[in-house]
Amino acid sequence: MEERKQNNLVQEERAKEKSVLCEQKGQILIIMPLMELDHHCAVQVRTEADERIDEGRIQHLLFDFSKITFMDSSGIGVIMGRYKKVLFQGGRIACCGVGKEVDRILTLSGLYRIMPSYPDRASAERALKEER
Amino acid sequence: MEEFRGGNEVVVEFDARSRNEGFARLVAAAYAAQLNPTLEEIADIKTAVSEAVTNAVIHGYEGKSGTIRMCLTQADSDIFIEVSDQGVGIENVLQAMEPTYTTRPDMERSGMGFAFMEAFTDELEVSSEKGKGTTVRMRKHIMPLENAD
Ligand SMILES: Nc1ncnc2c1ncn2[C@@H]1O[C@H](COP(=O)(O)OP(=O)(O)O)[C@@H](O)[C@H]1O
Ligand SMILES: [Mg+2]
Repeated sequence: MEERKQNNLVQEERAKEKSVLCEQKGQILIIMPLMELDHHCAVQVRTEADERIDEGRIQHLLFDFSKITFMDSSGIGVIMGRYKKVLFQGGRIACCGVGKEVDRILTLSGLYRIMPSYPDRASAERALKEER
Repeated sequence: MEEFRGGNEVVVEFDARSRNEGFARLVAAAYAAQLNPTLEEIADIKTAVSEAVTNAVIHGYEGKSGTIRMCLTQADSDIFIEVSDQGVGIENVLQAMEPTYTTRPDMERSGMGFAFMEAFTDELEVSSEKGKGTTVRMRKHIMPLENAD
């Protein structure tokens, strides 16, 4: 998605109090949280992501954190829960757009061991598509 | 506990709703602003408060209605944050504080809440009584600015 177009969409969805934007690209589901990922928003992110995963054809997940600057341990639960879902069908997870604040949480929780981080969507998508 | 208290007290009481987790973070961050914290110190405080308040909502009141009290005080370069609920309480506090320990895996809890509170503050004290409620006290040191203008 073009950057300006994406930013407009993010503004619109936030105005509707939507806390996540999901986008499918081939077999990859991109999950982009739009609001501080706490327990309050985790429920919405989980519900929306699971709906998309259960629709089928999704193998890998890419968490795009470029729109948020806050996440707490509820976010860890959301990521682990989704990871377990795709792991079952041989999928992997990755993330991109990680800022300083989210990085501290991901580092401390050890999540990078199962969710490698990439500077942008394109490189993360490439890595997920590569056969392993 | 005497050492877990400063002056210039601000107290907020709010309903135990998930919506108020963000509100509590904002209040604590705004309170800390008087000590000129760095962005990282603000992030530390927001995370710790978020964990304590979320626990009161989910575990303390088990999603039912109740009141959460947050008390903020300050002494020298320390911020003291006290979050309390009158919910179900914790039977074994030491066990509850172990990283990855959770009683609600069904809710996708990671059990990292207390670990984060511990990591992002300088002191953490939890007192709880089954059936009475839980109080979490945290002290966060704010590094004074050397070249403040
Ligand atoms: N305010 C509280 N009231 C009752 N029980 C609590 C409270 N805070 C924490 N607990 C208990 O301690 C456990 C660990 O808490 P925490 O480390 O935050 O992990 P999580 O919230 O992911 O379960 C919880 O699962 C719960 O059993
Ligand atoms: Mg918790």
